[in-house]
Amino acid sequence: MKQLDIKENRGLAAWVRRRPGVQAAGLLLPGLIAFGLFFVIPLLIVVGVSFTAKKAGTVDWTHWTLNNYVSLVTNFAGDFDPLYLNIFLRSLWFALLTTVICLLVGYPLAYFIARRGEKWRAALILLIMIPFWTNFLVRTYALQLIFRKEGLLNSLLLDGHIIKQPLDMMFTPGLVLFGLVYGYLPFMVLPLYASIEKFDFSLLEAAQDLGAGTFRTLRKVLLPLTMPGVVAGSILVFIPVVGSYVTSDLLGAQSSGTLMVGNTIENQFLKSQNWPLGSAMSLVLMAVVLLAIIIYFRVARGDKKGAAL
Amino acid sequence: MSAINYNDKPGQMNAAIVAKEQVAGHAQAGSGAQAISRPPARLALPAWLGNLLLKSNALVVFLVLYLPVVILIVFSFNAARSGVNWTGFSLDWYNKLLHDGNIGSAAIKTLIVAGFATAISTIIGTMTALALERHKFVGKVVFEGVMYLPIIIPEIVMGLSLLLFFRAVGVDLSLVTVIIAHVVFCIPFVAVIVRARLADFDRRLEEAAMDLGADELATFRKVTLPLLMPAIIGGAVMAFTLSIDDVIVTQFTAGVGSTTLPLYIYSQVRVGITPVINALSTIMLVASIGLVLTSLFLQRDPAGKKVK
Amino acid sequence: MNKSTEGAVSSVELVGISKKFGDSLAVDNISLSIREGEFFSLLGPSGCGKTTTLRMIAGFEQPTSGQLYIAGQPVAGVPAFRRNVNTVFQNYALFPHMDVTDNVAFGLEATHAASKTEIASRVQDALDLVRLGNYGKRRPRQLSGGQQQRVALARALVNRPAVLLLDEPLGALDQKLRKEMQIELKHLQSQVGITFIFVTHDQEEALTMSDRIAVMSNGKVLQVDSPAAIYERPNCKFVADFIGQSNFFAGRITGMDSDSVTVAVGGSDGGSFAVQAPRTNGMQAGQEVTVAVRPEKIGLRRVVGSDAIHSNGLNRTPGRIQRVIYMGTSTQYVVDIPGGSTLTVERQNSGIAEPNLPRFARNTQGIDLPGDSGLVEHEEVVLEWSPAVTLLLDKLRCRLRQ
Repeated sequence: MKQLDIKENRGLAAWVRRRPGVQAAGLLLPGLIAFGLFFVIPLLIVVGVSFTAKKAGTVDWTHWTLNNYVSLVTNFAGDFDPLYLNIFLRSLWFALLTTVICLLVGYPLAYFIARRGEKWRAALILLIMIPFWTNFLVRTYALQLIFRKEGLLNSLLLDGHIIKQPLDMMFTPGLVLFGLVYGYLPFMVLPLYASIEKFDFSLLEAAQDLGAGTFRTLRKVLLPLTMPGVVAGSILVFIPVVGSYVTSDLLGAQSSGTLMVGNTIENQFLKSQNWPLGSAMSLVLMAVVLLAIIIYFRVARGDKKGAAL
Repeated sequence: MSAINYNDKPGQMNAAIVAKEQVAGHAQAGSGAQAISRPPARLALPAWLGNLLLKSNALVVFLVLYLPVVILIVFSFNAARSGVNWTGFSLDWYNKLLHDGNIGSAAIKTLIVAGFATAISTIIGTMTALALERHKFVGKVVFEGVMYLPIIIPEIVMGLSLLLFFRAVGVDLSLVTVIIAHVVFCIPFVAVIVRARLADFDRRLEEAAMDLGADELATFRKVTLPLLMPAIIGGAVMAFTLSIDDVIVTQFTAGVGSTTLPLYIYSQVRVGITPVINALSTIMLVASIGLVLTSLFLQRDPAGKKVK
Repeated sequence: MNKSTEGAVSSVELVGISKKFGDSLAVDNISLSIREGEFFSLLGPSGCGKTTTLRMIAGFEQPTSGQLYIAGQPVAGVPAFRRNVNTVFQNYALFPHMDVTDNVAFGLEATHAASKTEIASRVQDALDLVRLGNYGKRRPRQLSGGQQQRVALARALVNRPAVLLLDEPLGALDQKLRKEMQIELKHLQSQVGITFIFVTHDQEEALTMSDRIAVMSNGKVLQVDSPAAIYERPNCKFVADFIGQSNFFAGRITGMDSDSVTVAVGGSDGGSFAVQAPRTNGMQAGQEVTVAVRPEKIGLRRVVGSDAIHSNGLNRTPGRIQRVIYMGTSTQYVVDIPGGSTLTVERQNSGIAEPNLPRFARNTQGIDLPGDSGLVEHEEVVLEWSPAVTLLLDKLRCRLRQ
C-alpha cells in the first residue's frame, strides 16, 4: 500500500497546481512574445509611419503629416482624384467576383464529394489539393502558357480553323479573374466540404417527403445548415484576393484595367520607396477588409450574430 | 351497486365513445370515393438531372484545375526552349536544373527556413492551443482575436509591417527575419488545428491516468500527447507547406542573400522563363505529394480510428 | 474523529463536507463513516451530489469545506495521483492507444510500484481475476462493453488500493449483463476484501449489492442504513418514495397508548378511516404525519356476502379495483378507496389458494391460470395490512439515522 504523502501540500509543484492562472501564463508566454513583438508592434509601426513624410529607404520620424491620406484622394493640384479610389474599388470588385464564382463552382463540387463513399471522398479531396501543392507562381505562369498570343489555346484554335487571328487574352481583367479563381478555389472548397460533410442528408429526404421541391429544399434546409462553411470559405477567399498582387502582376502586368491595391502598395514599398504612402494605403486596405467582414457577417448570419460585432 | 362513493364518472366514458362514432360517421359519409389530394407538386429536379449536373461540374473543375499542371509537367520534358510546339522528349532541363547553383542554394535556404519555422511554430502553436482551450484568463477573447488575425490579414500588410519593424529596430533583413515572419503566420494555423482536436478530447482519460497514479507531467506524456499527436503533425505539415510556398511575406522580409525558392521563381517568371522552371515545379510537386502522403501515414490515430 | 463507533479504523471518513460550484451547493455538509471492507453505495437521483462526493474522495475535486480522511489520514490538498484510491469510471476511460495489458499495467508503471517482471505477473493475475486472462493483446475498441468494464476493474484493482470507487459502472450495460455483473462485482469484492464505494441511481442495484446505503438528495444525505433497514424503515417520504413503491396518506395522530398510535387518515370528501402504527419517539397527539404502506404488504380479498368487517388487529379498508396490471411474478391492483384516494396493492402470483380467492380463475378464453387471483376491474374488495408495517413519516423533514 502506498503511504499518503502529506508533504504534497507544500512545494513548487503544489503551488503551481493550485494556480491555473500561472499554468495558463506559462503556456501563453511564447505566443504572447511572438505576437506582441512581431505582429502587434509592427502593425502599430505601420500606423505610425503612415503619418510621416516620405524619406527614401527609411523612416523620417520627425516630420508628421496627414498628406499621405490626403494624397489618396487628391492629385498634385489638390483636386479630387479618383485614381486610388478606383484601384480600391476594382480590388473589391475582383474579390467579390472571385468569391462568388468560387462559391458557385465550389459548392456543387464540395457537395458532390461529400456524397461519395468514404474512400472516394478522401481520394477526391486529395486530388483537389494536389494542384494546390504546385507553386502558386508556377501555376499562374502555366496559365500564361495557355492563354498568351503564342499560347496553347490560340494554337489549338488556329489549327482547328476556329479563328483566323490569335485572340489577345493576356493582361485582361477576365484573365486575371480566371487566375484568381483558379488560385483560390481550394480555399473555398475545403471549408465548404468540411461543413457539408457534417450535414445530415436525411434532412433532405425529410424535406422532400414533406413536399418541398429541389430549390426550396436547397434554400431552406441545405444552405442554412452549411452556412458556417460558406462564411469561412468566403472569408478565406475574399480577404487574400483583395490584397493580392501576384496574379494581377503575372497575368495583368499592372495594366490599367487590372491594377490592384496590392500592386500599388508593393510598388510604393519596393519600387518608389515611399513607405509612408504605402503604409497609409495598407491601413485603408485593412479598414476596408474589416468593414467588408462586418457587413458580410451581418448579411450572411442575420443580425443576431452580426450584432456581436 | 355499492353505496360507497368512489368518485365514479360512468357517464364520461360513454359520452366519449359516442362522440368518436359520430366523427367516424362523418368521415365516412364525407369522403366517399374522394381521394385525399395534395397540393400541386413543387418544381423538383429529377434525380438523374441533378446528379448529371453535379458530375459534369466536378469533371470540368478537375479538368481545368489539372490542365495547367499537366501542361507544366509535359513541357518540362519538351526539348524546345519556348513556344508550344513539341519538338521531342528531353531530360535536358532536369539536367540543367541539377547543375544550377542558384536554384540549389535557394532550395537549401527554403528548407532551412521551413524547417525552423515549422518546428518553432508547431511548439508555440500547440502551447497556445492548450492555453486557449483549457484555461480561462483575463483578456482571453482579445488574445484569441489577435492570434487569428494573421489568417485573415492580407499577407502584404503583414510583410510590410515586419519590414518597417526590422528597419525601426535596426535589424538587417536576412534568413532569420524570414523565419520570424513565417513563424508568426504559421502559429495560428497550427493552433486552430490542434485546438479542434483538443475540443474533442475526452478529459476523463486524463483523470483516469491521474487516478492510477500518474502526475500531471506523466499524464501529459503518456496520454495527452500521444492522442494529440495526429493533430500536431497535421499542424506541422500545414506550417511546412505554407512556409515553402510563401512569396509575399518573404519578399518583404528577405535580405539580399536570402533568396528562397519561391522568390527565385518569382524573379524568373517575371523575366521570362526556361523549361528549367517547369522541371523544378514538377520535382516540387512530386516532393509535396510525397510529403503529404507521409504525413497522412504518420497521422494515423494511435487509437486506431481512421484519419479524416 | 477518524474512528467509527465500532472501534475499527474507518476506511473513508467525511466530516462536514460541502462543495460549492459558483453559487450552487452541490454537496451540503455531509458526514459519512465508511467501514473497511464494506460495500457502500451512494444512491440518489441525478444531480443529488453523489458523483461529486465520489470525485472528492478520488481527488478530482477539492471540498469547499470539511475534512476528508482516507485510512485515517487527512487528504485535503493531496492530488489524485497520490491517493491510495482507484476509480472505475462510468465510460470506463480505457486508454484507446494502448492494449489491455498496458492499460492494466499503467498504474503500477506510473508509480514505479514494482519491477517489470512483478508488474507483468500482477497484471496477468488481475486479468485472470476478471476472467480476461487471454485478452492482454487486444485493444479497447475490440472489446464489448462488458469486457471493457472488466478491464477497467482490473486496471483499478491491480494497484491494491485501500478503496475502490465505482461511478455508475453498470449504466451502459443491458439488463441481463447488468444482473450478471452485479453478482460478479459483489463476489469480487468479498474475494478481494477491500472497501467498495459504489455510486448509482438504480435503487434495485443498490439494494442487491450493498452492505450499507447512503440515500442522497439535493446534496444532503437523508439516511444511511443497511438495505433492509432502508427499505423497511425509511425515515422520510423521499426515501420511502425513491426506494421501491409506497402508498402515501396525509393523516393526524388522534390517539396514543404505550406502544401504538392511532392516525386518522382523511379523504377529500369526508370518508376517513383510522390506522394503527407502532409508536416511536417524538410523536405527539395532534401531530400531522404522512402514513406510508408498501404495496406488497397489503393483502386483498373479495367481499363475501355481508362481510362483517371484523377486527383482528389489522388495518383495513374496503375498496373497488380500478385497474389490474399483470407483471409476471406479481400482479398490481390499483384500488379506489373511500375518500377519493387510491391504493396500489401488489400480490405475488403464487397460485396458492387463499380465503376468499379461488385457486384458479378462468379468463375470457376459459383457460386455467394458476397464478391469477381472478380479481377483475370494478370488483369490490377488502384491503388489510398489519400495523407493524405502517410507517409514520414526518411531513417535512428527513431525520438522519446513522
